[in-house]
Amino acid sequence: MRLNDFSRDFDKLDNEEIYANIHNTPWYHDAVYELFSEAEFERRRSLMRRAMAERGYDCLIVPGGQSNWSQGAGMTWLSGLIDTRGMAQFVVLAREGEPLLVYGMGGSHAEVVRRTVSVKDVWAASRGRFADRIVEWIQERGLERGRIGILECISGSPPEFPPQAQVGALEAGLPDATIEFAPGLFHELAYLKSDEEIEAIAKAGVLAVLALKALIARAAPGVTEHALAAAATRVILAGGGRPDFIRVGSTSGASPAIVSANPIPSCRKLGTGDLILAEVSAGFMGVTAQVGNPVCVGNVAPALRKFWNEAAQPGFSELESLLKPGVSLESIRRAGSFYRERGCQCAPLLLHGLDIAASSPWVYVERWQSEPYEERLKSGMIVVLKPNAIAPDGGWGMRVSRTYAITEQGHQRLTDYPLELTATSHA
Amino acid sequence: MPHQFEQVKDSLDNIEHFEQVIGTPWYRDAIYERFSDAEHQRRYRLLRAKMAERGIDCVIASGSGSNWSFGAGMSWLSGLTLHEGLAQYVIVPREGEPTLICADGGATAEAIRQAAVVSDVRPSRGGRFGDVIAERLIELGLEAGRIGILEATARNTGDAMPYNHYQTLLERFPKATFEILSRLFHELLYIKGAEEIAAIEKAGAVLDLGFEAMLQAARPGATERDVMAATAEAIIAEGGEVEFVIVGATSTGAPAMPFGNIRPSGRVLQQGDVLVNELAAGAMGYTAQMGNPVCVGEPAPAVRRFWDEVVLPGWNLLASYMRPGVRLEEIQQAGRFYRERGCQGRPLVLHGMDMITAHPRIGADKIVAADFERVLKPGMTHMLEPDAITADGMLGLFVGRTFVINEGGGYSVCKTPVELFVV
Repeated sequence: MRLNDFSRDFDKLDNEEIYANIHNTPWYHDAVYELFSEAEFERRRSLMRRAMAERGYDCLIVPGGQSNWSQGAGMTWLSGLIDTRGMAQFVVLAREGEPLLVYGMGGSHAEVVRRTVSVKDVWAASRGRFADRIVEWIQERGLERGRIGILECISGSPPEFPPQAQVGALEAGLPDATIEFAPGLFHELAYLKSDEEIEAIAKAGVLAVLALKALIARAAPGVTEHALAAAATRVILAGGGRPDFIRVGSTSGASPAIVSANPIPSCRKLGTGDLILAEVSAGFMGVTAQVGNPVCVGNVAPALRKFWNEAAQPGFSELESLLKPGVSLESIRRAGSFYRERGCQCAPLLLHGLDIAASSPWVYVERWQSEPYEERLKSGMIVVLKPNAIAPDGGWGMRVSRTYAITEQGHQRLTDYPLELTATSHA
Repeated sequence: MPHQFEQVKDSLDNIEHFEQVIGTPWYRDAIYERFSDAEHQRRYRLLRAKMAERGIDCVIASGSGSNWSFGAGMSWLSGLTLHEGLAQYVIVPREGEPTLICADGGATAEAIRQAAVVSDVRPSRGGRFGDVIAERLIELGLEAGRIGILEATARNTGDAMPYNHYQTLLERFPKATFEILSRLFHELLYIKGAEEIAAIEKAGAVLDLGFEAMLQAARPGATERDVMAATAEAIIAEGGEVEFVIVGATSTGAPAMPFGNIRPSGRVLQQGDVLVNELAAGAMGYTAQMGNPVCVGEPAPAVRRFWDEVVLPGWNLLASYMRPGVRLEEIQQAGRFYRERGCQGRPLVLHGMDMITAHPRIGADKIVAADFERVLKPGMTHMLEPDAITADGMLGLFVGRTFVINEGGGYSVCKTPVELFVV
């Protein structure tokens, strides 16, 4: 495989092989992107290489996203590539030297990518054969008999690895290598954020809150749920971000029948007095932040107001007060009993971490699940607090969510939307 | 095992109860456009006929996102258009009810039950997809069966499911045979039914609205992102889905862009710029694509000349071939127009559309197609997308429309005329 230099091949672009591997073009020279600093990417690569040395890996193959609960994972973290087209997009990192990025598309698409990532060696996967270039790259470095780790596309238990065809092609192309899966490594490196990362998450948080406000501003009788999602999408995209998810559900305030936002916003039209549950996760520079809040269209039904005042709001505040270094996940779990003590209930999940998207630790009403190193909150962790108070009859509820950086002093709310039962002025 | 809401409605903080709850009143008044039951039965019949031909007892179809996938077999068989991962599966036995396996349980699974046409919806129990699939296969008595797995993409990469899900199946069913069903999905889908074409027409109508929003947003001082955002908002507000909004701006005085930008940037639009774009929107899981350059103010004379002498006549020539009976080679031959005019183009001239981009593919120097699709036929849907590029490689003015081939000829599902728009 070889790359084709634009200065030589600029007049042969209708040749598929030439076009797919063209580089050094002037195209997109004036595109403008926010990127992490090279120092930040170097910090991440150094962390990864230290872990490789400790665990005896010669090379790591790091896949991307999208997959469930993933927004690019280690691939985005190491390269800066924001493209959730598929799990089969890979950064390959040896103990020394420049990393490799294998992207799904060539030609002009790959040239855009080269302007948005920290990796200099970007190759297009010919017709989806990602493994071909990876195998060749590993052989060029004399690592074909080495110990090679494949990271997961999502952290968690169980993790999720790249597609079977890609792994099979790697195994076939590197018969003398020791190929192993290396789950958990990415989370261990990413769970404590740098100052640059926290700044980027704060920007994602600003976008998420602006998107929520746009959604609320659009909410009026006769407007559909997906029109609300559209308004939120516009704000995030115009601000340089990417929607991770925008969940919007609505129900009659007089006889409500949803417990949390709808992951598939529907054509249902809003009516006066409706309860809207909305959750927005906005991505920016390869990190995300989440916010969610209940909204009433005009009038607030008395039962909703009472539930907010007596359960949803005070429960959230109680949990929020625990967000400071040294607090154990068990303490947060126990605080989740607030809802039962008030005579109602709560969906199981109270809090989760945030690598790029939702990740460990997970705190539920009944138990918590984490790696040993994150059983207590620490400065530099990012968490999403998202208790979902549910009425005693189980028929409806209100999820409230905010994203926080744990700081030396306590916490910083990164999605700073007021803790209120919002009522729109439209009725 | 599932828990009826009436039994667990007061213990929803129990993980097991919440994750496996069914029969709730939640999302009962959500409204989704759906294909008819008859249409879904048609799809199952088509698939099962192929299963019978090949001796397959059961098919597993995964979803998206994966490269070049937009739900793929999972969306086609279940009606679910939730693009959250490759690992969302529909299991279709030769006889009996299909099963949809989604990532999350609880409220999310209940929302999916409202949106999808499959009634047996099972959560993955925190990502244990392989185990949940295995349980269904055991229920079906297929421990030693022949199981087909549909590819997730139209590019024959063989990608079908995460490696560990596949390994779980191999380990749990040593007597079963697992087979990746390459190209089968395309074979089932390359000729569309009337309801499928209606959905693609709707996607085209949504694209027209998105393009109109683009025209409104394309003003000096706006960024590429602003234009993308306005376009996406218009598509989603009408109930459509955004597959992609590719848009990039370059000066017509000193251009440097052969195709739109897949990641629209913060570049500020200026008078004399041209926005090169390609849009793809979905309706009910089916997408249509279009692209048309938009000038911000009058373009440089050379760009106007390029449009008048090369781009537009080249397009008109190629569009005249969008009718039944035309061989793909004839379209490829017509694509040489650009070279004959002293210019060039991106390699790709036309591709098929299943739910998204699919075969056939006509390039300047290569055609990739199955035997059954080498001649245009009624019911096919194709994206004609020549991207004329100047001889120096510095500017491409992409034009594209999604065509339905019918008995009478062919028509674009977008009504936006092909012209050099100046705003």
